[in-house]
Amino acid sequence: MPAKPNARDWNDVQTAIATVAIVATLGMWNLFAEPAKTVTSHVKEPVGPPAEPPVTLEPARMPQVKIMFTQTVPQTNTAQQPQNEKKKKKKNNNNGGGSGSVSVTQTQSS
Amino acid sequence: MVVVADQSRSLKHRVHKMLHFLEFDAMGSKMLAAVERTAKSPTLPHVPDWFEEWEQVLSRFRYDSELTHLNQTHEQPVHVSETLWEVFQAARKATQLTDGLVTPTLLDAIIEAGYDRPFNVLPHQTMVMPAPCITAVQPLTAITTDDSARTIRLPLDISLDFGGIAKGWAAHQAMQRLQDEGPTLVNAGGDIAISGPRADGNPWQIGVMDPFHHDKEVETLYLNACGIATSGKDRRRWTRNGILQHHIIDPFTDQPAETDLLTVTVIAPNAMEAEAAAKAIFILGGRLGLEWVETHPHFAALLIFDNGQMLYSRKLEEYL
Repeated sequence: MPAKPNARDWNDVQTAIATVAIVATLGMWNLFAEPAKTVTSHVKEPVGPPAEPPVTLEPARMPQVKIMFTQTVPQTNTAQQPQNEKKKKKKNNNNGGGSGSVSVTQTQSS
Repeated sequence: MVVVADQSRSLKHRVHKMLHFLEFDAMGSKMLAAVERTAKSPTLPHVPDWFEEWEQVLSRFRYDSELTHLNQTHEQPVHVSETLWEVFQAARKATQLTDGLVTPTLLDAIIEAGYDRPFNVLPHQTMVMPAPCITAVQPLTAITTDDSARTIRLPLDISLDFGGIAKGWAAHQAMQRLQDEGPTLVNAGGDIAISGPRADGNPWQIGVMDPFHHDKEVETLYLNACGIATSGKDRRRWTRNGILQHHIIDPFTDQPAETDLLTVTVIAPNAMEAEAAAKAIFILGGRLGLEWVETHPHFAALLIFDNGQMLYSRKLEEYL
């Protein structure tokens, strides 16, 4: 006639009680911890003016003008110069003469 | 009604060829190119480009110009462009014409005198530098050239500066390129090249600037095909250690020429010769200068002295 395994049955009861306790602890922990996490996440949400629609960046367009890096482009001018009257011989041996003439251009020290 | 018709007809008959002109800055000076013709000149707008091209070859103030490159290369032959070669030959003729008074080998002397940068950025009054050391100006004959290979070989102690000769050459060159379109005048900072009489057969009227009052003219000259140039100390001058300096160097002293003349205007067969002759007379001074011009029958000169006195060479009467 075999012996009864009494000791092993008691151990099984202890293990079962510990497992239930751990599961209950974890369950209760999760049950009370979850709402706090939710509140925290709400607090972190930005508070401010309504978000503007996203702006799409496009390459800036260059103005449609010619950019000159030099001085003003010389322009051709046209003049109707009075025709020279008959060449006049004149004596003018002092300063100041010749002013008021219609010279096309001047010579000067270069 | 008849009167109106007559007037319109007379107006029609009075349609003349127009003077088309272009003014621009180049070579540190004011430039003017003018062509007389009925329609607009198609070539005239290109003149500033020509001058820019020439300046890039001939300027001593541009670090990347062909002349700067040549001046930095000594004791070995350098193949040069046609432009630089032509201006060098013009300078050589000027030296021969003036018995060495006008030479392109004065660069070191003019830098010693203080003209070491473009005139518009040169400090005119406050320049204080050590006293100049005398530089020995070398003759142009020390430079060796090869006509067939178009090379120039500079000795160690020679650098070139074409100065006014380059402007005279540029005026003459531009005039030659434009003259097929009509009577032409090109003024390169006072050095003027004229192709011939105006469309109506009359001469061009050219004023000579009054060196004492730059807004006035002292004389009006009536010119056909020729060159005219003025040299003087009324412009491009500065003070160095309290002494007035100017840009025309006497090759026999290596210093700015000491002369009793303020300006000299010369009429010559072309602008390069006019420039050379004006400079030579200026260096020689009033008495010797007038003697010199009278021995050159193709030249006419107007000399203005420091005291305002004006002297006319005999030939100048033809142009008054």
